Amino acid sequence: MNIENTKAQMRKGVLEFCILSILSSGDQYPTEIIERMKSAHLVVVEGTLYPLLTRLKNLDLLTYRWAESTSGPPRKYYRLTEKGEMFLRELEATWDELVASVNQVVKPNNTTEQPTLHHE
Amino acid sequence: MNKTITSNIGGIIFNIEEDAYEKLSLYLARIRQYLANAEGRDEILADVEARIAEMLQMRVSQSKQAVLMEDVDMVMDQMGSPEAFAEGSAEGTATADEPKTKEQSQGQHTRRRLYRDADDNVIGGVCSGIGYYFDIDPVWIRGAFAISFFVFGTGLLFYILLMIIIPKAETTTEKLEMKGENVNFDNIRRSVQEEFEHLKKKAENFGEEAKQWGKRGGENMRSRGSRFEDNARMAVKRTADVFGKIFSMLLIIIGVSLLIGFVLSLLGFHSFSSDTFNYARFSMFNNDESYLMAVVCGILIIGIPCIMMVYKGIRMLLKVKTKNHYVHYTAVGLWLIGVFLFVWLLIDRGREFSEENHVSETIPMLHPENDTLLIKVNIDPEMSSNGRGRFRKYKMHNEDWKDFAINGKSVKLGYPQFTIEPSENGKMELVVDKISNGPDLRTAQEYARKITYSITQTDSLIEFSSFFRPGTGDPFRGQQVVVTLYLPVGKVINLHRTTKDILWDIDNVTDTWDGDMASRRWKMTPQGLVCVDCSGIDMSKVSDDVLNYKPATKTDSVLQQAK
Repeated sequence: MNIENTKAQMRKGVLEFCILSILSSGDQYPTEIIERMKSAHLVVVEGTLYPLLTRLKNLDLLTYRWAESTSGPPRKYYRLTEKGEMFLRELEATWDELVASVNQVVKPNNTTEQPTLHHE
Repeated sequence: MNKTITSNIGGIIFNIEEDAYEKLSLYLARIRQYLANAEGRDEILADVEARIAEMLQMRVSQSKQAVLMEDVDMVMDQMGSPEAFAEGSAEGTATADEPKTKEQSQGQHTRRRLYRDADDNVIGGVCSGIGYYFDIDPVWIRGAFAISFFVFGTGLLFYILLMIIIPKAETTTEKLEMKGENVNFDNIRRSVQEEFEHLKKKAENFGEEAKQWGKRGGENMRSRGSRFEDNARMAVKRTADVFGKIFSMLLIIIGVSLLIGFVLSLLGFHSFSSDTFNYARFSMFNNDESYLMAVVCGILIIGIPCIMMVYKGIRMLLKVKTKNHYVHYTAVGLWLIGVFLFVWLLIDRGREFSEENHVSETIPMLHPENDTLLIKVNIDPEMSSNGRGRFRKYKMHNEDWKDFAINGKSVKLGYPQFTIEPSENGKMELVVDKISNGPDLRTAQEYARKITYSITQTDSLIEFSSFFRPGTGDPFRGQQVVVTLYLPVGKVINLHRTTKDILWDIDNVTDTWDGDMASRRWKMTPQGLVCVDCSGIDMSKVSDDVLNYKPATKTDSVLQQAK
């Protein structure tokens, strides 16, 4: 087991959550999704995104429509399905819990310090 | 200036530089491999292609129409390494170890290929290519080859062969393949291990299946049958693989041994060369030019198939897939040239033999005091089989030749042919017929005249030389010497045992074979020759008339005396 694999495993679940979350604000095409994720330093390359989108689509969490593009082939605009929205809400809840739990375990000091930071 | 290729990427036409195209297609192929197990792989790839097309579209313009290497590099940078795709595709339930093994097993598909490395070469980059393939410093391989150059030059031949067989890594793809995943012992061990596990699993499954099959009594027979079929097909495929390996090795071994045998016989290792070879060299290709031609033809006609056998074998063994038609065309072309050359040579040589002419000489014989002639062959001690001169005997169509090495010089001598005919005019005479072939009648006669052969008579003893000599410096043109003794009826001839080799087609009433006629005495009768010392010869078919023939003259008493 090496560190890269562990990191990849960690990121994987989070990436799906982020994609669903980005798409909750409306139709997007992959390049836009990637821009947003890049600006958040979540994903470095586009390659990771395409298999994820296809997989989420095959799980009926996403659907897409074709749109003509002025600068190339037609683009796929993805959006959440109803199932996807439900899935996202569940994930959001899980995420909050997870962050709290993980932080409690990993950084017991930080959790106590955080409120003071907020106060400043 | 660079060549561009027109390529359809995501439904859009691009003019893309060759190098860049190769890099991009290799990149896509690698992604495909990494996504081998992902569902919806084709869809993902289509999306990726579409995105690549979009990015490239933005980078080309009216003033810059071609897609360059740097554009492809940018695209690859933005899309990420093929591993990144695997990261996105792996199932959420995957354990931490799984992607690793997956990556490794997928890596094996991009196995390293054997190429010649033109960037790091001393001669043809063969050694450095092999070095890459086996992950060895090319210095060692070069050293090994350098040593093998001195072993009969076999290394050189092998090197040239490898240089022809192994394709040069010219494109980026090939260069990457050349340096691709290690084919080291670790990998080999692992793949063997995997293979065994696979087989074990198969065997277990098969056993299990058989058991279940027995229990259920043929229920679901069809599906089981098809799985059994799959297993069988795998087994057949593997067996075919093994046989392919053995076959290719056999090809190499046979080809190499034929080549070695051929080269050795050319170099004059006589144990490898057949009589046919020597005969051909002696009779047909007996001047330097024609011999050289014949050798060239031999190399082309025999050597090329041998080399091609080795070539094919090595290619099969190494699974070199790249098609190199030029090698085939060249080989077939050279072989045909060899055949044509050989046919031309044979016709040319044949023309040298096209005409036959002869010179006849009649030597009157003195009637000896008694009626018995003794025919003897004088064997020159220097030239006898027991003598010190090294010789080789050639069996020809109807004449024998000996090749002597006298004082280090090769001398070719022919056996004369001696026959006996009844004399029609009562005279006893010898006719020496010297015959030769040649390109035209005059030359043939010239060759015939220059043949030397001596016969001497002292009273009743006639001595023949054991061999005749063609004219000095004359080539072999089928020279023959036929000596005919015209024997009047009633004369008796004693054939000494030394005549055994020269007796040729002598008619006699008992149809005795020439070889059996020596060491006996023969009497000429109107019906033909009859033996006098008949022990060992079947006389049953000969009529009493002949046996009891007695000439009217006093030869009777002579015969009695002889007995």
